[in-house]
Amino acid sequence: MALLEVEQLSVRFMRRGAPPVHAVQDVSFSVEAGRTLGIVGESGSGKSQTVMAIMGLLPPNASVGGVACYEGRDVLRMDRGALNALRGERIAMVFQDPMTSLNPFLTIERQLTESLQTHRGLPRREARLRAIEALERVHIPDAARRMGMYPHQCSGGMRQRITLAMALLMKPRLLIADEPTTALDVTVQAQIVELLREITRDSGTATILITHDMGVVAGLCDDVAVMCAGRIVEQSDAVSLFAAPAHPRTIDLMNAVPKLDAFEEVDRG
Amino acid sequence: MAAPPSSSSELFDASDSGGGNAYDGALSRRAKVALRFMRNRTAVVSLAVLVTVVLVCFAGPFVLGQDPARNDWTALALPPTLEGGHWFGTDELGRDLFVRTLVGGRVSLEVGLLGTIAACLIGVAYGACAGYFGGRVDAVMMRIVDLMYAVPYMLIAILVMTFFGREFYLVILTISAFSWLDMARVARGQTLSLRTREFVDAARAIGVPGRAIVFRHIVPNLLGIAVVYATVMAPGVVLTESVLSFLGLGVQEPMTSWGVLIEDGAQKLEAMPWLLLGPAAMLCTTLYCVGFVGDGLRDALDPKEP
Repeated sequence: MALLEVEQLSVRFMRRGAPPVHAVQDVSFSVEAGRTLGIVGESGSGKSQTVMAIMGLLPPNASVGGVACYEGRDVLRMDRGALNALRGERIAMVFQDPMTSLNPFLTIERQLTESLQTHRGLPRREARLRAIEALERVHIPDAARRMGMYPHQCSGGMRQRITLAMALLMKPRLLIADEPTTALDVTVQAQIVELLREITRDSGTATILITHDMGVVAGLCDDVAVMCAGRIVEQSDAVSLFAAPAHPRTIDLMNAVPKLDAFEEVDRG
Repeated sequence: MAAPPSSSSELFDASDSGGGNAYDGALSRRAKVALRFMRNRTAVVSLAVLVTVVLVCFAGPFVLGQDPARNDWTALALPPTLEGGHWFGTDELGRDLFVRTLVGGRVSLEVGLLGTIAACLIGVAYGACAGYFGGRVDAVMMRIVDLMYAVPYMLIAILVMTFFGREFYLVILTISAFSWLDMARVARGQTLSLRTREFVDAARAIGVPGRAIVFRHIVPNLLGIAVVYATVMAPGVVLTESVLSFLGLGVQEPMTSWGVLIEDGAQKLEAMPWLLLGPAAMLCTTLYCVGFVGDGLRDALDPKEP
């Protein structure tokens, strides 16, 4: 059985005095432990709302249908306490913009140790050691010193590493990354992609990666689901998808990646 | 804000661009706030003045050894003099205005301080909860605030005083019971925008329960605005007490407060301007200092300040 099995997931947003918006319709996929699923699509295709529904982070006017079973338990119908026990502990999430996903008023230490203290009730000293370990795991140099800093004292790439460390702290079995590279510049993107690859390889974590960048998909994913207008239009393993994309949307997304072949290769000397 | 690194090696050197020194990590948050506050000279001086005012108000009358109600029949309605010992002058009953100002200051400082603190505590917590939990909780909570706005506080004050007697702590209680309403609205509005920030989602995604999100993530972000708003509302709280006193609901003769003295002085402005001068100067000085301290505190609380 797969770690996460999503079936017929649909998300509607109710509006007062207007018909509801169908953001996601009949989406089904599954993720196995140790594999990476890429959900690709243009903005507004419903890819973010799909994972927000799984994480229970949708606004109150959303209504969710279908089933999303994590280890056989439907997360969509869980009560808040059970969901909170699962979130962070088993399922972790990395957000798109590291500039806003860290609380500007809390030190790195406070943000990192929060999940340890919430879930495990670890004493501060031990939580601190674990947090330093997590920072080192995402290759942050001088981690102990970094702990006392505030988010604004770190660069964008550094912050995304920190959010990644936050997500990995509890050794989750499922990692959901919502456009983790979109807000970063290219060189940092490459580092984060490399880091994600390393983490999934080493820990056997199942990963759902949301992106619109086919380049990132090619670099990281085992399986790919292409979304368009709230539905999955194409779904297969990465190798065969890149070899023979079937849906026009997939081809569009692939062509949207800027190519360097158009230029002559520059010799760096 | 750290500049985007232009190469991967620079990424790791961006640590100090926030202006912090290398030992930043060694200091506790409280120590850092104190340090940043100490660097603001205006705020420190204002704090010193405030402390002096408080000390003088509470200890001064004892040191001078004068009864604020004692009448000096040889010095009725005397303008301020240095040699006569009446530095702020005397009123038409020959009572020394300096002593009265100091004694009155106790009342006003207590009311101002406690009323403002109550407003901050209740208002921020209430507003943050309403804003964060949203929906029906928000609607009910804010309708209660609207309802309380509609109730004339004077009426409640009169009722409270009539039923429970004219106690000073009841004045503070009544003022506090209404002073938090504005703060709750400000805090709620701010929370509504904070709630959509990703770090709140991130906290929810690691399974932090709602209550902890409000008090660990939302409230610290509200502190800056709360401090500033508190300094804005402190004068109002002090003046409310004078209105209540004027109506015979607050402190009673021979006790007094700055509000009462100013009220009195304003009425006799043309005949005896010094009645207004002393108390008004004290009140203004205090409020100015509160403002500067609030400003300094806001800057000190903001971790982005160098």
